[in-house]
Amino acid sequence: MRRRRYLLVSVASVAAVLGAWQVCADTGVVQQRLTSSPWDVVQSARYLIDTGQLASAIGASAVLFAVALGIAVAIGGIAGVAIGWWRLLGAIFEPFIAMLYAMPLIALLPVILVWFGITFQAQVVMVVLISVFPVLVNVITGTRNVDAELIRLARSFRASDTEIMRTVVLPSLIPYFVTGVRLAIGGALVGVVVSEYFMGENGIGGLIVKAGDILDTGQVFVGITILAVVSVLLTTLLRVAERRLTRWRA
Amino acid sequence: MSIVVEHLTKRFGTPGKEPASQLAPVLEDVSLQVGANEVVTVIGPSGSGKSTLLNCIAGLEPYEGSIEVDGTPVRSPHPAVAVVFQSPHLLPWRTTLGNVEYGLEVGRRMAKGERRQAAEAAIEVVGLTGSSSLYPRQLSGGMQQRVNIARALAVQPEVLLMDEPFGALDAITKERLQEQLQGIVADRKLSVLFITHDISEAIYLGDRVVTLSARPGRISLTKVIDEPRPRSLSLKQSAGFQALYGELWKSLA
Repeated sequence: MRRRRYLLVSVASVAAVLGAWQVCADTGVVQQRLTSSPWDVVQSARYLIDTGQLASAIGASAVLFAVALGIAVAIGGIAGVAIGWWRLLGAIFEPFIAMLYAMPLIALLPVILVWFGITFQAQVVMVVLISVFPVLVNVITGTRNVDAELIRLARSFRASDTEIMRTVVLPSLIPYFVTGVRLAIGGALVGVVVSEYFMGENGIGGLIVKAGDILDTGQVFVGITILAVVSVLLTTLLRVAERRLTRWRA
Repeated sequence: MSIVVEHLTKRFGTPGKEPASQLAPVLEDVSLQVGANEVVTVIGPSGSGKSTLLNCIAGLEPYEGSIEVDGTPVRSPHPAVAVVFQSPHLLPWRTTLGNVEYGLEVGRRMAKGERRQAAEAAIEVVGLTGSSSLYPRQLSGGMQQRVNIARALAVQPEVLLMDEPFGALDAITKERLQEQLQGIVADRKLSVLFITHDISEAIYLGDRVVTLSARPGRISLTKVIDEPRPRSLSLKQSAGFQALYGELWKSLA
């Protein structure tokens, strides 16, 4: 009951902000040309839908996001287990991982542009770079934190190395992996927008940049709203998946 | 099935690499035997290498000397041996049933239906029927330890190596499990090596009690407990029991 009341307050809060925005724009408190207004955003959205621009922008961004995140999760997961498991691999790769994980990778954008030009590949590389490290670093940590006693137990039952990997290492990695993927999703969204801003002006990022160039703030806010909604949706989806996968935890 | 340990010495580290002081043996010249359907309990102060002894027999640690299970030298875990470690070490993402099935799934690779049946039988032996679908976090310490024992029993071992399995339990749960273990050992004709730091547990469960001295662990005393089985818990109150307790206590001090 109480939860429902708080939900109502949240809905009212959002409605109030949108209402205030609309009123300010209508009464000229703010310049509508610069701030747009909720109604204006709805009109812009309708225009973008009718002309098919929105669908193609979302499609382009979704493909980039999915391809790059998929690559990042696969690389991060597999390399993470290997680097976490074999100390030698850790010693070889960790200096680079530490450096790249800590630095703002967007700084590499000009280099990627030079190497790959304004291409889909360049965009993928940018997004993968930003989103691979959270997965990689978390999976490495998880692999190192596998309970040595559980491994000894498995050995006492004559488990082979592959059986130990399957029945002990991988299951205990799941929480770390999911955390890594959650951070990677955030990173990938940033990567998608940035690479669309600077490498191709396509997708939702491109739509925002082009609308900004012609001062069409309504369309800018359509793009921003879509990004906000998608982010919330993905985070929620992942939280549900996390709860499903780690039901055994308290 | 029997265990024969002869002149077992165990040191950690490699000669030439570590300073000599760290190469001092943890166990030195330990010889002992566990006969068929015999329970040998091992007591000793902490640091006497009790767990190390068990790990060597389990084939989980390299060693110097000779260890044979059923006449075969031990180099890796023997298929007829099951280990019950001190803490339950349950896989937290598996239910009771899944945990008890574990030993049948790896190593033995038993088919799924068969596995389930064997696991359910083992769960019944330790009195956990009804908790099959619970996760470890939903079980009390005593129940977790029962799952641990059921997991070992499920693989139908002939030798059971137990490393202070009841060490962390409250007195009442402990006594109940001691009594149950006795029944299981008799039913299945198991040979058991049971490590403990609890003198009365060692006497109550053991056909023989072996004491290890402090580092390096050497066998300082072997005592035959000449009491017929099954023993009742009231044995612990008897005068003979108390006398043995005193003697063993002195040998450890």
